[in-house]
Amino acid sequence: MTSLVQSLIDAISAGAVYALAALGIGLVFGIMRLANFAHGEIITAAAYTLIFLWPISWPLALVGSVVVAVSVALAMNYAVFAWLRSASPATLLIASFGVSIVLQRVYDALFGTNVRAAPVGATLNQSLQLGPIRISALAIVTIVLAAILLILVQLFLTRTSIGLQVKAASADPRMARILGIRSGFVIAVTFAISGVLAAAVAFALTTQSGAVDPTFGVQATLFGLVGAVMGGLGKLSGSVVGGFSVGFVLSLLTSWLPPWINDFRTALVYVVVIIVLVFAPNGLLAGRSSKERT
Amino acid sequence: MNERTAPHQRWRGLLSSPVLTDLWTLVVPLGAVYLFTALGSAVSASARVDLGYALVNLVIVVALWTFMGNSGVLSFGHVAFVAVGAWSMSLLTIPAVMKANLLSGLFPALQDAKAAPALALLVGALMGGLVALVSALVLMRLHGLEAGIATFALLQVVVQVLTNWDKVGPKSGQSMVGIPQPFDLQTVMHIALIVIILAWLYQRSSSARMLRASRDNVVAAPASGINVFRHRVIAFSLSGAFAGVAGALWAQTNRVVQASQFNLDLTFSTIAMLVIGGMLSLWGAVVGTIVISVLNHVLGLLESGLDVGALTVSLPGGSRLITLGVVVILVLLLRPGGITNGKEAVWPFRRERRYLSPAALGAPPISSPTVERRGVSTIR
Amino acid sequence: MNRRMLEVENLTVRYSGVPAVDGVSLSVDRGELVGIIGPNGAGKSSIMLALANAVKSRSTRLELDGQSISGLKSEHIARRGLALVPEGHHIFGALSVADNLKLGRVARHSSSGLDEDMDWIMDLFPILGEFSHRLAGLLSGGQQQQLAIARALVSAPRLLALDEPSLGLSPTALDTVFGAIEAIRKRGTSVLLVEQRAQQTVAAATRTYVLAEGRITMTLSPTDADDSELLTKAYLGS
Repeated sequence: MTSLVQSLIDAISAGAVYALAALGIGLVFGIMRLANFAHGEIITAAAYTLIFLWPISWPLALVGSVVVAVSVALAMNYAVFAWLRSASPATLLIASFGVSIVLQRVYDALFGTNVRAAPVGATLNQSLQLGPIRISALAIVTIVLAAILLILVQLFLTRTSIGLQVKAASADPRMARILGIRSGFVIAVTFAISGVLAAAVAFALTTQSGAVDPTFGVQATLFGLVGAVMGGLGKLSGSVVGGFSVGFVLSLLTSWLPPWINDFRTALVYVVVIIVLVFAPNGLLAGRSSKERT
Repeated sequence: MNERTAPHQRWRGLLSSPVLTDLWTLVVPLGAVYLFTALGSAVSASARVDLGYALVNLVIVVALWTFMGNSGVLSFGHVAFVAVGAWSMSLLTIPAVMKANLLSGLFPALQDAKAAPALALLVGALMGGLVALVSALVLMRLHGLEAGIATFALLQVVVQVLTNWDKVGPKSGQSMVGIPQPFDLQTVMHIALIVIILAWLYQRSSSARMLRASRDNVVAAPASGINVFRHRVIAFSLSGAFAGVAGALWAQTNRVVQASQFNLDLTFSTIAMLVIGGMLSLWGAVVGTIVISVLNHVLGLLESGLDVGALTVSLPGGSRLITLGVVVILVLLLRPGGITNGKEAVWPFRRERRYLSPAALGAPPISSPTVERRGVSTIR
Repeated sequence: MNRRMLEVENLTVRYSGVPAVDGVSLSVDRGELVGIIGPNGAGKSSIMLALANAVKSRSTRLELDGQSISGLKSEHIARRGLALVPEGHHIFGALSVADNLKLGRVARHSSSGLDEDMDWIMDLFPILGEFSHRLAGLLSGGQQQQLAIARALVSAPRLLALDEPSLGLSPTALDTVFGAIEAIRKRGTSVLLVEQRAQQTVAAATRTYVLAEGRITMTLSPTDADDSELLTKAYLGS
């Protein structure tokens, strides 16, 4: 029983991390139909910052990671994606693939292929005793952090003028421009927010592993992207649910599958992804929308 | 044809005949590959090595084009079929003694299986095509991003299975070594040429034509009675077979096969070559591969320190992929149609068809006016 | 103070090399209601989209209130005071009526007078006040059209460009919309109106251009509204 509760909490925490990753991807997709493969490299940049700065001063590391993540996200936007604004989603995807590969190699050249380690968030790596249950402090902090960020993003989108403009530009970019909405600015704001979310993901993951390497953000991005597509890229809530589900299921499988299947757990998750996409190509949460089949 | 046509006009007529125009679109890619191989193998020993890999990449890129170029649907999973082909070749050609040592847990049928290289290659093609066929039946109603993600998921599944299932391959994480190299460079080139011819023949088939109609207008095509699903399945399976051939060639060229070789880097490299050459045309697939292979070779030389006059130029490792990434981004920004802009090789003597709109002039018989302009952006 | 609100000279819009609008010149004076009528495919919508730079165009002169807007991005043209309500109900269906209206504020040059403007707009289209919190996608076609016009008015435009506001509207909704257009003009906003309802437009507008195959073939005044022979000739292209 206790191990069930523990693994459930771990699973929720893993789901929370991937939900944040998926939301970062979903926001950018909504505003310019870009499925950003390079989102992982934003996470990696934040992670390197955390690893390098933590031994010096942890508040500096936290703030620094957010600043770096937002900067990398904005740089990507202004250097590459801003010029491709009217390109097809497939072109954008390949371009983001290119950016991702380039950045990974850059990190490789700058920091070397081997992992860099630092005790990021070490205090959170202990367990709390709640009656018969041992809960990881990190898991709780991750869940709380994710919840706060999700609420903040939701408030931003519904209660602020810029947030409203983001929603409008995501729904109908041409009409938004005709109404005077500055699409360049709105896109940049969206990228910046995705940077903040990426930094949060980086924090959760580096605390867990205490190390970073050039491919650090790839897994979170793949699963985040997969989750977002499964949940339905049209709606942000879909991305969140999709990302959460992928993380949740993956974590449970890791804890509970018998060893001989465990090697194949990633494959299992991907099989589920295929099944979901085939039977619900608009995503799990999107309604009967206008997406054509075939 | 008017019997009173003057002789020079008859010659003109012959020279600009559609048959020649069409054949030209095959002759040029074949010629380019032949030249590329001939020149490359004469340059240096290291060039010959890189050439072998370049030819393997060429087959992969042609396979990619067969599907993506004709259907307009993204596939991130073709490397899975390359893996299947490589696996087939390895399992069938590794000498029995080695096999018994390295790959001890195989199914008995696989353990004893053995085949001559040519047959093993065909089996690789068959297996690639078969796995692609099964996948296509499941996936081909998707397009756009969903197709990209689903095919990517397919790649992950196949690679994970091949990595971990020791009944069909080596124990988890290990490689298959000792694969013989029965085909020399010439033979590999000939195989590549055959694949190009087959792809070219497919391109002229009515199935491919109907598929291209759906590429350009995904709503109108079914309304015209075109069964998009069926034609996509055909294209996907065929491209899977080609990829299987490439996998078999990879196995015998590299002589070591491991599941981790069939990863995102290879996926990206091959897609990049296709995009840079021009995603929509066979000529684009060939051009892109040749250009990038040459670039890779040069960068490889620079990475190990090249003497240029009085200087020794040396680039850090990893420059190849960075350069490839940057080039792809530049191409997408500046010339999304790729080097060939999606067109096939143009026969210089074609007759001016005045009844066609200006936009169609210079367009090969196979593509449509809207396609030239938008290049990659017709991919959904 | 400039008398001319909109000056268009030699406007050309091409799609794949084919001119949809071919050397059109027109003008709208301050406080005027000017109409454009013509058969389908004549290029009326292309003119409107070109004004807002939603499609590429060429012209020798394109001025709003004396200042050139040629080559400006759509978002800047909107902020200069040109509000386009394109053909079709381009409201944001997933947002509420109130949120849709809020978006109109983006192009507004100053927030002063916003409250009075909102009151006046709600008087013009009472149904919007009733459904303020409803999702815009749930409104009827006529109500969505009213929302689109109201949203444009929130930005306090100098020139309101309406593209076929009557499309698909019920008779009651038509009355509301055309009544609103008249009220808008009376309040001082210049209006450029593209319409299918030829007679109603010609009667209401100071001046109505007739567009056929991308060119202006004639200019009608309100006295021509009852000349059905003339109107038919205009429609079928002279």
